[in-house]
Amino acid sequence: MNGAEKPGDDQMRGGTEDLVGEIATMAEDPDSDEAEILERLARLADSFSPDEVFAVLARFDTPDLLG
Amino acid sequence: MTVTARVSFGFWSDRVVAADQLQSDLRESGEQAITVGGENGPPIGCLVVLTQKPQLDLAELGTLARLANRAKITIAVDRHRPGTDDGPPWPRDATLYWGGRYPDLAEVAQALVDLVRPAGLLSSALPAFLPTDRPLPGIPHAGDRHELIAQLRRPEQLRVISLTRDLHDELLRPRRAESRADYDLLRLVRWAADEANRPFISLRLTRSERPSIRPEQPRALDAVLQDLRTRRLVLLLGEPGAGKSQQLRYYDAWAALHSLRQPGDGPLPPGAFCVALAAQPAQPDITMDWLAQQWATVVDPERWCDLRTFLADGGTVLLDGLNEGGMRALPLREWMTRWRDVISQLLGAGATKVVVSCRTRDLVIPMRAPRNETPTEVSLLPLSKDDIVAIATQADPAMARRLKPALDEDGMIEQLYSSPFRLRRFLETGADGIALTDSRLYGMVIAAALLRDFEQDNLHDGLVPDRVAAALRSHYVNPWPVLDTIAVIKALAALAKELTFPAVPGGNARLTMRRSAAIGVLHDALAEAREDPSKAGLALDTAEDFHILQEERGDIRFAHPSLQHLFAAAGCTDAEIVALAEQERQPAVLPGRLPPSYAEHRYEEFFRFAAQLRPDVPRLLLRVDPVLAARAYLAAGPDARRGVDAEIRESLANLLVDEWAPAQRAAIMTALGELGWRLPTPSYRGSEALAAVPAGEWRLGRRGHDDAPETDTDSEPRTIALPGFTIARSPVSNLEYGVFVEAGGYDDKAWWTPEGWQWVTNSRAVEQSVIEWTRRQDNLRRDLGQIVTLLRARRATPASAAALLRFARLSETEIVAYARSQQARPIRYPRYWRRAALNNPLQPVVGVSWFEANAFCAWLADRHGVPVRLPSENEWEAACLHSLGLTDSADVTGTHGNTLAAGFPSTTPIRTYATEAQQRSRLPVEMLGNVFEWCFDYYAPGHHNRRILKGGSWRHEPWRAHPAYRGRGDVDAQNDDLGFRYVMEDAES
Repeated sequence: MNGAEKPGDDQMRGGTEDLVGEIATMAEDPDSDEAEILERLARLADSFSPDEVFAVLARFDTPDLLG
Repeated sequence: MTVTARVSFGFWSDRVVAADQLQSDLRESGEQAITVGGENGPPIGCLVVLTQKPQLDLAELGTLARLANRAKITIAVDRHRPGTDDGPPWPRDATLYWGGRYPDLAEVAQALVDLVRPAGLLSSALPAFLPTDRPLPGIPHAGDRHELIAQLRRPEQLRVISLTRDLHDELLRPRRAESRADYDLLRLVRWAADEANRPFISLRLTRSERPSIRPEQPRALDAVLQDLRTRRLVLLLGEPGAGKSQQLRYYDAWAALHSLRQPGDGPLPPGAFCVALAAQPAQPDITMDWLAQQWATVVDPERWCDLRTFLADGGTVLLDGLNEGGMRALPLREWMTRWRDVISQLLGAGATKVVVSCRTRDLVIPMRAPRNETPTEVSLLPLSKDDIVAIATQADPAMARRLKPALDEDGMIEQLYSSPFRLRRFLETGADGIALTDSRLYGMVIAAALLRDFEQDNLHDGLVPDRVAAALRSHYVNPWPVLDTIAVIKALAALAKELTFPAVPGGNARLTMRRSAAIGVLHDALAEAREDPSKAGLALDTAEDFHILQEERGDIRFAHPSLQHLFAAAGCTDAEIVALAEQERQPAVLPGRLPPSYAEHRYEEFFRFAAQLRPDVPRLLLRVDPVLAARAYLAAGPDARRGVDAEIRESLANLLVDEWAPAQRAAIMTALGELGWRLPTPSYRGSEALAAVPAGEWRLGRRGHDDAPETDTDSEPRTIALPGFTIARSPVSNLEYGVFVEAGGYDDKAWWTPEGWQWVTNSRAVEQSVIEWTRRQDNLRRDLGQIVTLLRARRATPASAAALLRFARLSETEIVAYARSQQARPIRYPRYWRRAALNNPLQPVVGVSWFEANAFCAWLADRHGVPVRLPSENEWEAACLHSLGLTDSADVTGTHGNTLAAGFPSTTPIRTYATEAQQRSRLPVEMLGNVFEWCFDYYAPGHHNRRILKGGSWRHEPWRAHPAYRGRGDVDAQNDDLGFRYVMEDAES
């Protein structure tokens, strides 16, 4: 299929959005950068409400980092 | 910042007296209601427009539009139902009709409250368009596309937009889009032009993944797709008629609006493209090329862009009706497998997201893509009680008033009307009674259609004799004895049987039949019913007119699978029902990750209908399959139940003696629980309720427990000598705990520790909780890198790692707000006491805090006059080893109990996993898996708000179901996998 060229101001945002998948893939790669993982975790974390955060922390299969 | 209070009800009316009366009625019910008008004023929750004019003039429309733009929703109270010649009404979200009698206004006021009940409704975020020939005074008017887009971009996000009639008509005219803005405007205006889209109630769904504290929270698809946790493939699941297509079309229109609202110079957000898979040809063409053809029907690729460019730019594709393969000459599995390949191609070509809607029961393969990745699943929620009342109020306030008390009285009624399809069909009947079972509900729908036909000159004369009209009117609430005598109903039953019954045992049922074949079946059935067989074609047309059958591309199907199963059940003899049960009897299958297959649903519904229509069916099924008999009996509804409870209970209990497969035992125990069977307790068959753990030496703690990925989660290796003690054989059941609740256990301070009483009466200091959480936050902040370490070691999922990071960044204000919200929650029973999946009487109680577990023990001790307490960790581990016939943790092998690996979606009834040896020797059962059990002991020295939990649960990986595994819990935690058992001192076992 050969569509007509679109006007320049009709550009949509490209790329993909799968943050969870990206983080999981980076965590599997021992050479991935910790700061980059933290940056993506921070983006994901921003979407959590405090209620959701506490729901996760109250689960007993969450690792005990909190003392 | 000044926050302007929103008025609950704002009135605009040309009937001053009536409006005053309505406002007064609302104020008496505690609502805020005022008259509104003018240019400025506070925001309005619900704008009520009470007018006697069917059409408003331009000045009135201008005022109305200004007011509607200040309101969240608009409800019209009209004197007249619109006539056929009236034009479309001015934009409103719902209409109530008032006949003009002042005494009726109290009912209108109640209807208004029911419609805007805060728990139920989501108002549509999309604007309505008001086409007029001349500009409306006082509000901007769009004369062309640029002005229309400017209106859409206004920061106040208008709810009603005025535009010229020519522009509106031009946007509605069928044609292909020629640019991105054109594409967006066409979709948005076409969505808004359909009045059926204005009601604001169907946009509710839930997502299955954790974490979510309120899974029942209503959300629309736009919120799901904007959520960063959402994967690239989204499955939208729901039963027929639940509103899946509406969700997709809503999102498509929302995406159009979102795009139009972007300022001119920045990049546009990804577009959306919605395709109905029902448009596939009879010989399926499941390819990207077919999708490109569909794209070319809505977009002119020569003038704007083709599908590949749209995808490469990150467009979102919405595929509606993955289950539509059932209509075609292709096995469903193959149909779905091919679509999965196409979905992978769409994602590979750059699509940001693909959303696929599918009937829950028809999802026959795991839909994973791209690269076998797990999708995000979202499900349409069943309607809540408030939703049902609101929808009924919109359709017919009198029916809503009849439904409300029935809904309050019986949870089964709520379940019955929670299906949008069933509710809609019921409301269409205009019946003056309430159906208590689904067979009666559908019967009323059919009876109403027949009666309407009689009232309209009996258009289907000859197939529905006049004599049944009077009988139907007197049997409206239970019409099946009359319906069963009508030849066309008998013929439809024969058609349903032909579709439903498998050609070979275990074979597939069908949903469709070619028209010619269907007429053949009807022909034979009419002949058998001594009716003129040449009327088979007329019978089929009649059933279509009554919305019982549908025809699509030459195929005939029932309007809903449930109708097919109902007619099949109505057409069967007792012997046929029993024969089907014998043919199809199969062991219960462990529930896996997939929803039940179509076949499982088919027979569940078929036998339920059979039991509702013929009260003898459960007893007949008893000798074939007692579990099926019990399910059919319980679903038959109170009227159809004949006192065979004891007979069914005895049959089920006998099955338990020799049955050790967990799936089968779970099915039997679930049915037993619903039929009132009891497990032994200290006061009922006490010797079977308790187990004696002998005095001896126990080798406890971590000993060669190599499959655990963590090394710091087990108790210390130790050898301990313990005196003999007596422990409950099972965790405390819902039935057992319910006695404590009923006895006023939550009101009597005597059973609670001082700290527990503070907690249960919500008087625990907020500051105390805040100090505890802040201390933990400080611990975490010291090294955020440890979160990544956990992630890499797979000890934390991406979501839980992100939650930890977010916790580290929570402000003190947020922590205080959370602590306050917890304190405000009244505690009258365990947290999940009313959750259907967890509240069978024989399931273990869950959602109990350490405080509640101790209070129960104190209450039980008082009843029996002996000390009762939670076990110590040593006692719990020793009892666990004893239940396995061991004395050393090192000898524990294999997986035990209900853990994640078992695939059950909740706790299993107590003794599902009991072994023959444990039952024979009266040993403790199910110490591992199912519920995480509280111990008395502190988790660590100095941290008195955390206690030890043992045994793992249905939510845990199998490695945690080991005697040595040591979990921890805050004393006030009430998770849905937390339960307990007790030690009873000085008890005779």
